[in-house]
Amino acid sequence: MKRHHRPLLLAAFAAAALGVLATSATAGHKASIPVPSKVTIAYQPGIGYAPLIMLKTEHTLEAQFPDTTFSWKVLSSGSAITNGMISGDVQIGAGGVGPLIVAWAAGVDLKIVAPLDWGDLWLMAKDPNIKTIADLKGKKIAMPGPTSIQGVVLRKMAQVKLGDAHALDATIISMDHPAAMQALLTGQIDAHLTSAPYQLQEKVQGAHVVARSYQYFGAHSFLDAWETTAFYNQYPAFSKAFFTDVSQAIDLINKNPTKASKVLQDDSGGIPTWRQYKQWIAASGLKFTTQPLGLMRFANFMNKIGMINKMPAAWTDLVLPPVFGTKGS
Amino acid sequence: MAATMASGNVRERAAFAPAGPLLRLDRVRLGYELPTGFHVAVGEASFQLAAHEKLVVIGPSGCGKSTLLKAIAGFVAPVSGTIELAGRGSLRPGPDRAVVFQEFDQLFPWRTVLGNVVYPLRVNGRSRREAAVRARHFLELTHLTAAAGRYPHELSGGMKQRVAIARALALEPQMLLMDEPFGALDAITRQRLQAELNRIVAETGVTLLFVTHSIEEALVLGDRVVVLSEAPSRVLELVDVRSLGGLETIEYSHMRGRLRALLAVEREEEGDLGDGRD
Amino acid sequence: MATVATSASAPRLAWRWGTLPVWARKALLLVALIAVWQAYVSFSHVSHLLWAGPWQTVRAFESGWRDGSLAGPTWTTLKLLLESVGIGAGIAVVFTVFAALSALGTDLLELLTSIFNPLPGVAILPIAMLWFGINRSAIVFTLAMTTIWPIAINLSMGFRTVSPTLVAVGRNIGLSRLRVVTDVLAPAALPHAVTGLKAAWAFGWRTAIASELVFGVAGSKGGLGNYINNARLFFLTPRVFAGLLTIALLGVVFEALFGVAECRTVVRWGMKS
Repeated sequence: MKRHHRPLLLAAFAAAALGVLATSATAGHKASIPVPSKVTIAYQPGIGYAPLIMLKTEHTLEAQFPDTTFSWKVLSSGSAITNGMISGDVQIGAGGVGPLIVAWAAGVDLKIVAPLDWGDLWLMAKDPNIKTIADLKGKKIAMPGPTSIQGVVLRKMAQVKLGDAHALDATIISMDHPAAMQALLTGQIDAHLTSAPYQLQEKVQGAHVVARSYQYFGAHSFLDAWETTAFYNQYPAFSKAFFTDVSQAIDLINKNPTKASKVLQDDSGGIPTWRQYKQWIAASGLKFTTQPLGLMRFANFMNKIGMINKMPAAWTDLVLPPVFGTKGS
Repeated sequence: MAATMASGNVRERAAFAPAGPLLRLDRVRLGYELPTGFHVAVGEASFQLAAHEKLVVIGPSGCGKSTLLKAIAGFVAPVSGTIELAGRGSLRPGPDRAVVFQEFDQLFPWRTVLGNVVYPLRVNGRSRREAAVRARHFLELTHLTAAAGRYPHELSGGMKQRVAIARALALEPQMLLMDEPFGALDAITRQRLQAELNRIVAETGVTLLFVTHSIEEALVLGDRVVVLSEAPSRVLELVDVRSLGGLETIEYSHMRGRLRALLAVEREEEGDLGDGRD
Repeated sequence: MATVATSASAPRLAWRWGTLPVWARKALLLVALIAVWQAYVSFSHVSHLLWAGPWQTVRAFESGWRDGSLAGPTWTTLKLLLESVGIGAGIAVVFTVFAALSALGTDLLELLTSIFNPLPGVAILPIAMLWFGINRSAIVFTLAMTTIWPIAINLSMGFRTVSPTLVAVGRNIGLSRLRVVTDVLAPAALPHAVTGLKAAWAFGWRTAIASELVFGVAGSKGGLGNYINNARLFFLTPRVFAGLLTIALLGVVFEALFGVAECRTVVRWGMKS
């Protein structure tokens, strides 16, 4: 009896030992990456945040980092997100280039951890009499705020067309995109400097395009995901994994827009439909990519008109290490 | 203008007196609503008042003497009976029957002493200059010239009442109605003001109806005294006290005793009734 | 009064503090608070984005006034408030006079007051913007709505508590009912009117700043609330504090102005309740 059992016992021991080694190896591997216990990710309304929405709907991060609690929030403006990051409520925030550069120049410890897209921002108006930038003097133009990327774009438009960057400052009404779209279509405001998909929705419902940001800045970055350098330095591997996840989500959107649209439809509970999402992805002025474009162009302009007092030496000053390899500008 | 204002000589004013009594009350019945029902204050009162006369109404508290004054002033309408002023009935409040109230807060606190006397004159059509001249005259009459620029809250109680008198007289009313105006003052001030009032009335010749609960005051001030009973009151007696002489005379103490008795009898009677019932 | 203390030093300290004149005590306390503030900012390594120190604040305040960047918004907000409180006061007076002259007016005023007085101005603003559009009229409407009710409540209280003797005097000297209201009730109610005006000013001020913070420029040149909000957006924390300092100082100035007005009227007439 004993002779028959001994090989079996040895095999069992070996298997057990291997199992313990294996788990300890992976456990040790996991234990060697410092991982935050709680991460709040905040973004704003708009399909420019599609890569993040995909990560959220597919629970990619939750699966990858089971020891971390992830919480997703939608806030109404870039400044709300920067404030959340300063106070420590938000660990990863996403917003336009404008609030990021203003914050960075004021000494806030924010940099880009993963760019999301480039975006053409359209200035929409419903009244057919508003045809040019000059027609907007004395009117009301809604946008997320004076420090939003739309705020910078408006000032560029004012400088080029009216000779004074601040000529239209008094027209700015701070409103989030969904509320502003409603206000434009009901005639409460005269114009809306906005982004995808609202600009396309407004066009479909009777508004016309007065001007586009690409006409004034060339193609440029629109939205990015941010982290504080303190957070990055504490969790570099985590942050790099996040960058990789975002890249993969962007790849999926670009290569398989149908599948990506279906995921987006899941997030919003079926309305709008995936066909609608697919059309928006295709036609509302967005290009998803992790390559930042035009950061220095924006910073230069903002510095010239006095919106910021500190200039980055190079685009790399505004981003974290995972982004260095993307050949941005 | 100056003559009518400055004279105040009784004999001259008598020449302008209307024929017949200035004020006539005929079986006047007065009351007011209480939560417990309608309370009759004056059961039936009839008396008359001639021009330039000084009539004092006296009675126990609650006998309706203030209500009577208010009715004559036009604040309250009689339940029955008539009140006629120079033949006119249905009286509404007006400056022809200027009132001096008992309360000290009858002056407008936001006006100076002079302003308080000028304002009613302006309301009644006098020009600014006229009103100012008139006002100063009556302030002089009441020895208040030095206080003309002060505000009521800076004055003593006695001074406030004098301002009220000056204000009332400046309107040249047909009658001056006074509702226990010296009741809240100390005895010394009261005596002084009674003497001043007598002097002022003699100088201006104004007709006076004075309400009080003090027998002494009635005898000092009045030509005639109306004694009211308790509510619902009626006129117990109407006595002439003009010819009494000074405080130290026998007639004076006689009259005083009589009045005391009248007012005390009421109380005694009530007491008897109470005993009788038992 | 002074109890027998266990330690010899305690009553001596209390005696020293209490004998200083009031203004000196308050001044000393203020200096102490500012010192604590400065120490906190200088020594606690708190982010300069979160806190500006007293010296920074004063410098931002001074430069803001010198170059006009604070003066403009301050005047814009003040003008807005003066206009709105004026309108609110006017409407309140009409309501109150109507209430003084008729029972229907009294009922109407009491009903409207109980409905509208509890509504905070910032809650009315979104509806006002729907009705009037996103412009200054919406804010004027909101502010007027905030100021009508405190004034009406206090003024009608003042009317109701006027001595009946004064009213009787008014009628006796021949005033019409309307003139009794204007010449007797109104001046007699002045202490209450001032109380109401002070309350209306305080509510209006708070509502104006809050509305600007929440709704931005809304068509006008931009007031003090907008100045503070803008400074916050650009992380110019010393300017935020300078804006707050301006508000505090204006509060002191208006307290003083009200005090002077009261001195010349209500206090001079011995009517201060």
